[in-house]
Amino acid sequence: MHRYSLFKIIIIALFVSSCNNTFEPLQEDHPYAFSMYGYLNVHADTQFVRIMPILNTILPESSDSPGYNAFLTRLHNQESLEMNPIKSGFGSNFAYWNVQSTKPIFPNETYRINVDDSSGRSASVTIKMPNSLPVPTLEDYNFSDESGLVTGTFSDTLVSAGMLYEYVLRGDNSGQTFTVFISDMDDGLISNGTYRFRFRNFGRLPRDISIIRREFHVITAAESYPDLKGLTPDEMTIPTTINNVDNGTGFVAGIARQIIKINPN
Amino acid sequence: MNNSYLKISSSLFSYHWVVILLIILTSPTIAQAQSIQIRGLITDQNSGQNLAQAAVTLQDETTAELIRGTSSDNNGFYLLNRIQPGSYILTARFVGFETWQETIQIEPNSGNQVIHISLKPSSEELETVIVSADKLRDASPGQVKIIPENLRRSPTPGASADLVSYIQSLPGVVATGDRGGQLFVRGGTSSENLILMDGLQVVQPFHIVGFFSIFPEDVLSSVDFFAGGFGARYSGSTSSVMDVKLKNASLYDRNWSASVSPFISDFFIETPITKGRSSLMASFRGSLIEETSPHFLDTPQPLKFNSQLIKYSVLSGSGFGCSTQFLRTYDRGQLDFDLGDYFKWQNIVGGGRCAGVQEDSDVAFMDINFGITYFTNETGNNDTDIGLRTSNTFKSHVNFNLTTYIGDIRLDYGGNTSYRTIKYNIGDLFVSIQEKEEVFIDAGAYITAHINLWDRILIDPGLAYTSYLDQFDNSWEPRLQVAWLPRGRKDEKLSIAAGVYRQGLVGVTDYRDAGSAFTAWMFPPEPDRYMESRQVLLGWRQPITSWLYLSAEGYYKWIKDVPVSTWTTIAQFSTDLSYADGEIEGVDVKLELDYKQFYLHGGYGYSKTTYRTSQELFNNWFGEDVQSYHPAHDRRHQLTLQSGFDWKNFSINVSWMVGTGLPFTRPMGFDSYISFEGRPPDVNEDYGTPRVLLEKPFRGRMPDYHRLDMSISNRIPLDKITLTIQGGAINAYDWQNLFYYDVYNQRGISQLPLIPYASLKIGSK
Repeated sequence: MHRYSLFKIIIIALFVSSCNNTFEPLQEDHPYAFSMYGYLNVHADTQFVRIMPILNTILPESSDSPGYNAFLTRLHNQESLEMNPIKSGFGSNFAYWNVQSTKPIFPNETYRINVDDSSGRSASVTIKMPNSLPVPTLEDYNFSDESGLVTGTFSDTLVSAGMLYEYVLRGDNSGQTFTVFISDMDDGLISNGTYRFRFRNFGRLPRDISIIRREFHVITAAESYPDLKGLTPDEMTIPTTINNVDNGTGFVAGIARQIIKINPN
Repeated sequence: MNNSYLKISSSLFSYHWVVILLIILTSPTIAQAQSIQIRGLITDQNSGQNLAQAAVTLQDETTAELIRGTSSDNNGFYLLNRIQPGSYILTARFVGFETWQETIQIEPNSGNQVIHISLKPSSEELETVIVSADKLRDASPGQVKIIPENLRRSPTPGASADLVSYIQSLPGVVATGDRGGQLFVRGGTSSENLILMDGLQVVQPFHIVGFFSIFPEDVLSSVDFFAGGFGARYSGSTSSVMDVKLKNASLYDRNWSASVSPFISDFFIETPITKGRSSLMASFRGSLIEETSPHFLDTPQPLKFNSQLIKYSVLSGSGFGCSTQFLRTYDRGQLDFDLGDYFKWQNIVGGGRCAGVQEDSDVAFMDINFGITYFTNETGNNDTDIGLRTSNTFKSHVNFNLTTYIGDIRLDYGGNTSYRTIKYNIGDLFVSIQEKEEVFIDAGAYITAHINLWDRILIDPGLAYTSYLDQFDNSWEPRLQVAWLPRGRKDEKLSIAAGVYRQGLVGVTDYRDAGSAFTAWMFPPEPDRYMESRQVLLGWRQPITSWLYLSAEGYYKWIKDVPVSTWTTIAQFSTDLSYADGEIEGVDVKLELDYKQFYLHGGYGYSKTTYRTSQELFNNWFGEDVQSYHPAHDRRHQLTLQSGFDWKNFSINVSWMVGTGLPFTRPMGFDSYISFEGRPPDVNEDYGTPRVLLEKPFRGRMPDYHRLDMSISNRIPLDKITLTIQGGAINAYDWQNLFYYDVYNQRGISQLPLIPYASLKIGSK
């Protein structure tokens, strides 16, 4: 009798121990609620920030609402406003959401963006703004070889300078335009709050194009700007490497950007 | 380029001399036996096939006293040593054959005697189960001996039993699923298995449908499957060896068979060419599942394969036999039926082998073989040229294996040299190694001694040496097997084995997604980083009764420099190559009940594979430089039960397997990475790069794996042919087994559901 009971117990135990079929493909317990990317610019009329919940699929499926609320708060006086969502799509089934604000952003102040959803998930990012940036001076520009000289002054940290080109391919009548940004940070003279960038970009542009827009960009930032020096591309993509979002991924910077539009006429 | 060829050529000559010198030094021509030996081969009279484990006795003709007794080895070779002059009766017995007996006279001045014994098959029907049990149980540590009768215990949805279905049922062997054709043995990767067919290497003998290989039961003589601890004869593999011996076709009778099932059709023929002297065997297999599945399955199965295997054998009549083999295979299919990604591979193998006993030589047995092996595999997408990856390898080789005796000590030794080319284009798989074509020559030698102390202790020390002609460091691989037979019975022993195993040619597969059947074969990207395994095995084999047998074997391996994928967060299928070290520990237990026509076999395998890899990103990512994880093939527990019985012309077989789920890396979620390189991003223009937020590698596990397969067959002898009808089901209780989990698209790819099937086989009587 005992022998048969033991046999039964072994068989049942084998089945029970073998039936662990709780399958959880996604790890539920993790520190990320939202992804936030972009910047606030003290010289811009409108601010845009990408805010997306951390997804369960690799591409965001299209929806009628972003599923969250985002608020921009000026910490100096705790003035807060809700940012407006804007839908952008790619393909027929996928869409992502940005938020925008037309409130002025003041230099040398600190802002916070809070985002939450109905399930209680929330994330926030605190953004320190730099001082205003004087408009740079275009000393010289030669359209034949896309060379020029730009000078100016700045406070805070100069994080980016270079030419933005928008162009179309010659012979392409589809109307599709392309942009390329050519950084001059490695070639400029930057010292004691002044900069001087001399550049020649003809050889750095694609062949057989017609340029339809030229802009020189200069950008400064407060201390809250990603430091990419020495990072490999793989290291940059690690969620914790470039991240100033609490309970989320991504980076929202505070910048001052000045743009000189360069036209042949 | 020319300089490197010259360097290789000149080095090759010098290394050939090293090999030859080694053979001369180890050849015991100086060790003349002081007494007379009787030796020879025991063969099947019908086919010329050498018979392993045949019993040979020498009795005094006058008193009938037993003077010496032995059994033939794997080559069918026997040797009786230290025979004094006199008159004797020499007897050879083997189950299924008539007893052979002859009176011999040994004169004082007669030299060693070479007596080949050809056994005539018995006309009586014998219990094959007994044959299999006898043969299975004289095995080395880590070894499983397999004969065709065993294969029928694993139901397959074809009319012929197949080696791969049986191998998958062994403890310690993990198959990722019912497609893909990859096997993992005791924690090793699928590219660490060495598969030999009559001495010729076959890179991928398993078809893309996981039930089938190029080895149906009809073509096999025997298989020695080493899950680890194998001797010095086998080098160039760090995990397992499958040494397949094809059968010789009948020298007197023409036999044939043809079969069809929803999955496969095959045709087999064996015929004498010159009666009593030469014969030909051919096996042709082709899949039908792609054509039939739309008619009886919910999901069409885009899987296709075929293979052609031919063997020609000839006997010299003086103890030597030669054969030539040719094999071609083709496999193509999709592992994930919804996506357009396909996998494709092809083997072409050809070569020859001569083996036998030479009279008037101190070499007791010799075996020479040569051949070529070509393997190519490819993966891509049916709809686009993007992502096309190819890899192929060619090898030509010559090797020889000799056996001799110094007194009672048996020495097995030999040498080999091979020429290889590899070529791969895997540009978007492994970033740092994209497209390459290389030439590679190696030469090696080995020696193993078999020391028998009082028929109770068997000690087999061995050493393998491989030279890579300055391309890589030379490799010395010592190995040792020791067995204790407490009662002198071969089926009851405690054995240990230890050794160093290295692999010069590595197969690199991106197992991040687990659903890949593409392997890029290459030489180690860094010349001083061999893939290496140091192994220790401890096993016990114990008959409990005449019908119940228990065996258990524990193992521990230290592994070094296994190529693994570098971890990235970007959701793409390209990666860099890194290396992992680690340990594998486990135990395999088998309980076998064979009672008359009934059998019940249970096998349990526990295996824990741990990799440790240091990658640049880990410190930033996880706060630690080194990550430890269990790779995608780490099935921790696996239980197999097989049962069945024969009754008259009916045969019933049931096989149930359950295993714990395989590891995969659980994502926390997905977002889009937007770069700040150059300037702050414009979020209105830039969607970013899709990014998977990964947990530490392989911390999740897929659901448990279950499968119950069953079959019933009826053999119907008719006037001139035999008809075999089989019905059965795979995955009989329709368990949803995940083949792999696609983390990028959050989809589980399932294996085959319940599939009932019927098959028909006709053949000569």
